[in-house]
Amino acid sequence: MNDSHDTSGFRSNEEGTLDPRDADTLLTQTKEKAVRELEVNSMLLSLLGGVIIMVGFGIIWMSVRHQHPYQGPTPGAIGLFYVLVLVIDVAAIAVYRRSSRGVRGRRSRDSWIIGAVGATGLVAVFMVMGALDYAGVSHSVVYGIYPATVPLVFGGLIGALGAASREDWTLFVSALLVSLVCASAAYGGPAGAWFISGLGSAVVLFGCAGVKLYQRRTR
Amino acid sequence: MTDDDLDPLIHVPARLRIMATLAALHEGDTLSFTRLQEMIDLTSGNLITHLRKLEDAGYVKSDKTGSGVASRTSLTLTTRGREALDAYAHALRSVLDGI
Repeated sequence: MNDSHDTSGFRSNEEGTLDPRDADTLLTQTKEKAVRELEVNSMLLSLLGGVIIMVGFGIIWMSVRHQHPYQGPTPGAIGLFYVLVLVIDVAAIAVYRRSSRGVRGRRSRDSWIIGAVGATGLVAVFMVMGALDYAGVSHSVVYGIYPATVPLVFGGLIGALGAASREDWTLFVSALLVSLVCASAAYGGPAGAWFISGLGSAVVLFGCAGVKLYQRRTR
Repeated sequence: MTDDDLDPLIHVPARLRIMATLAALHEGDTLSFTRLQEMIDLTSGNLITHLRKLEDAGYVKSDKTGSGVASRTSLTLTTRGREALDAYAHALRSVLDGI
């Protein structure tokens, strides 16, 4: 066995041992690279999520802001919104798969559990929305306050669980803040709820991405 | 503290990179041989040789499942391995402080 095939680029003597300074640099660099490659890139996801929520909720808000009485988002706005939801889903899956490739154990098991809970919860959220419509609840609630707030309140809580399982405390706090912002957006009325949820969540997620960038640069 | 106090098993570029990479995993997680090889860019034979030394010392645990093309080797740092890496990093700091 020899170290001639080691491609780290650090000098070593015949036994393959290192100069302590080189060893320190190699240890730090390898740790940072491994963490970067194995962790979910939550900075990228926060940034992308912030843009998509802001644009998606913005499109819907534009379609409802002058409605008197409130009718709900136009089919075009809803269509665009779902395209954006699809984009963030595909991006999130791609980022997750990239980091978790070859990794098994507690983390992947937790991710499956949280994914299953999240998917079931979202289906339940929209089933209740259908039930509210069926029960004759006003459009202001069924197509305004409820869809503008509850899915993101729930999504924030699921996001917080996922972040906690990865010990990503910046994302954990941000996800809880998204939940709180969206819950308080319910007081903004049917049109205002879309605006407050969209802008508020985007600001929180941009803040999270900024903190992540700062942490990465100062690590 | 001198260079001689540094764990000779870890104080080798390839093995230091293997240990540092596996240490980035969450406790209870394993990494496949293929992904580790990609991450640290070593030849398969070279990686096997270094892993065997680390395994013999009780620093790394490997687990092979399946057979043929479906086989998968999972690797993880043992508690002893984590402690050894922590002790190595601490000793390295002391050596550098003395320079």
